[in-house]
Amino acid sequence: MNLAEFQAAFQQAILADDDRLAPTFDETAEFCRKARIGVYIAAYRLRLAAVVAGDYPMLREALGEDAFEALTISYVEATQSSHANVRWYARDLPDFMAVQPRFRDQIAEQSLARFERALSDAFDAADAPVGSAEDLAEFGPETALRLQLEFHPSIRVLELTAGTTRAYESLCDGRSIESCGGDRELVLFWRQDGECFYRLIDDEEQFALKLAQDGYRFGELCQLLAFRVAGEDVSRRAAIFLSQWLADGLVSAIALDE
Amino acid sequence: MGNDTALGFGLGLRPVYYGDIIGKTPDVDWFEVISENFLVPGGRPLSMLERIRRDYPIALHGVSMSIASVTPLDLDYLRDLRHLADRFEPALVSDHLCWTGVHGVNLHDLLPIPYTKEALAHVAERIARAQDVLKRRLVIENISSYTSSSLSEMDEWTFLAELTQRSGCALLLDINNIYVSSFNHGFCAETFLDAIPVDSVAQFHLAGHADHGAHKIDTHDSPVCEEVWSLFARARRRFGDVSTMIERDDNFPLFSELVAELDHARAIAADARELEIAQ
Repeated sequence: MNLAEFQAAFQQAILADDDRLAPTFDETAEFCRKARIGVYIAAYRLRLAAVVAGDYPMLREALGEDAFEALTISYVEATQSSHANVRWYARDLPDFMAVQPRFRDQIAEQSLARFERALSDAFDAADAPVGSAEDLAEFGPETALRLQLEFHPSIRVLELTAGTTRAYESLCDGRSIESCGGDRELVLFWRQDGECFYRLIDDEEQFALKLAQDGYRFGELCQLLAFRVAGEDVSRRAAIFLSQWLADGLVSAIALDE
Repeated sequence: MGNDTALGFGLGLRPVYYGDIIGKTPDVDWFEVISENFLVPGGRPLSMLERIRRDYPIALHGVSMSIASVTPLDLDYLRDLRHLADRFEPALVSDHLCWTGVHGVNLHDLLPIPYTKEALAHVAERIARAQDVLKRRLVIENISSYTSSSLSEMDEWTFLAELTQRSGCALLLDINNIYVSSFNHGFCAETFLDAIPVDSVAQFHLAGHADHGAHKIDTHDSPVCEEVWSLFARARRRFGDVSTMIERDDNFPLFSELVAELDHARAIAADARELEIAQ
C-alpha cells in the first residue's frame, strides 16, 4: 500500500464511519484497532457538529436539543467540507433544511437559520472605510443630486418570514418565541466597528438602497423612487434614508458624478 | 537554533481573551494565532490582531496546509497565508506533519502518515515548494496520534530529523503531543526528544490532554500535566532557549491562570538554564 492508497482508505473509513475500510494499524490489547480508528471517526463528526452549533445558537434554541442534534447529524453526514477554513462549513445549513423532509415545512426555523447565516457573513465580510455626515457636508447642498455612494461590503438585505427578527431577539433574551410566518419582513444586515447589526426596513428603503448600491446618482434615485411613493415628498424621504445610512455606517465613500 | 531569535514565553491568542490583552499588555512575551481564523476577508478578528500586533510579536500556526497529503498543494491557500504573513510579519509560520484530506475533501483533522521513505520524500519536496511560495522557512509540528501504521519503515523522530535535514524546515516540538503519542503507541518520549537535532527546533508547544485510561487524547482543555512539565524541562536542557507557548482551546480558565501557568514554564526554563551553567 502506498501513501495515496493509505490516505484514501483512511479517509473513506472516517467518512463512512466504518473502521473496516481503514488501512492496517498496530494495536494493543488495551487500545485495539477499532478504538484507535474510532477516535478519528468520532472526532470528525464532533468537530463539524461543533461548527454547526457555533454558527446557529438561536436555531438550536428554537428547535430544541433533539431536533437540532438530528439536523446536525444529517447535515454532517451529507455535507463534506472542501474549504481550508472550517468557518465556511455550515453556511449551507438553511438550504439543507429546505430540502429535508423533517425540516422543509418548518419555514420559521429556516428563516431563523438564514438570519443567523447573514450575521456570520457580515462578521467575515471585507473591510472598508466608513463615511460620515461630515464627509457629506463637504459637498454642499447644490451638488446633492449628483451624489454617488459606495457601500460597506458587509451589507445584505434578506427577505425573511415575518417575525423572524422578533423571534431571534426573544431567543437571545432567553424568552420563548411566538409563532411567526405567513407574511414577510425585510432585514438589513451590516457590520460597523467589528460588530454586526441588523434592522427591519420597508420596501421603499430596500428599493432606494438597491438603486444606490447599483451606482445611481442621488437625483436619479429620487426620480425612480417617486414612481413608488407617489404623493409623498420623495426628496425628503430619500434624504432621511441617506441620513440613516450614514448614521448606521453603511456608506463607505461619497463622490460626485462629473 | 532558537537562541538568537527566541521569543520567550507566549500564549495562544483566542477571542475569549481579547479583553484581557488589548490595552492591558499582560506579562506575555508573544502570541500564537491560528492562521485560518484570520484568512478571512475582513472583520473584527483582523482588527483585533492588528491592535495586538502593535504590542507583541506573533507566530502564525496553521491547521490546513495538509503538507503530507497526496492531493496537490493548495496554492490559493499558500498565497493567502503569504499575504497574511506579509501583513502581520510573524516571527514564525508553522503547520503540522499531517494530512487533512484527499480528493477535494477537508476532514479538518490532523491525520497521521506512515513513516515511510516514500512519505519522507513526498513531504520534504512539498515543504520545499511551500517555503518557495511563502518566502519563509516553514516550521513543522509533530502531532498527537492514535494510530500507528504497520507500513512505517522508521520511527516518527527519525522521520522528523531526516525531514528537517532534507527540506530545510525547522521543527515545532509539541511536548504534550510527544507525551500523548508515546503513551498511545508505547514508545519512550525521552528517546524522541534525544533524537531530534538540537539546531532544528524553533518552537515548543505545551498543552493539556484528556486521559481515557487506555489512551490519551490531545484536547487542549486542561492544564499542562506533571509528566509534560518534566519532559519540557528535559527539552529545555537539550534545546536551550526556544520560543515556548501554551495552547488552550476549551474549558477556558481566567487569563490570569494561563499567565500563572506560563510563569511555571518560565521557572522550569530558568532551572534548566541554571543546571546547564552549573554543568
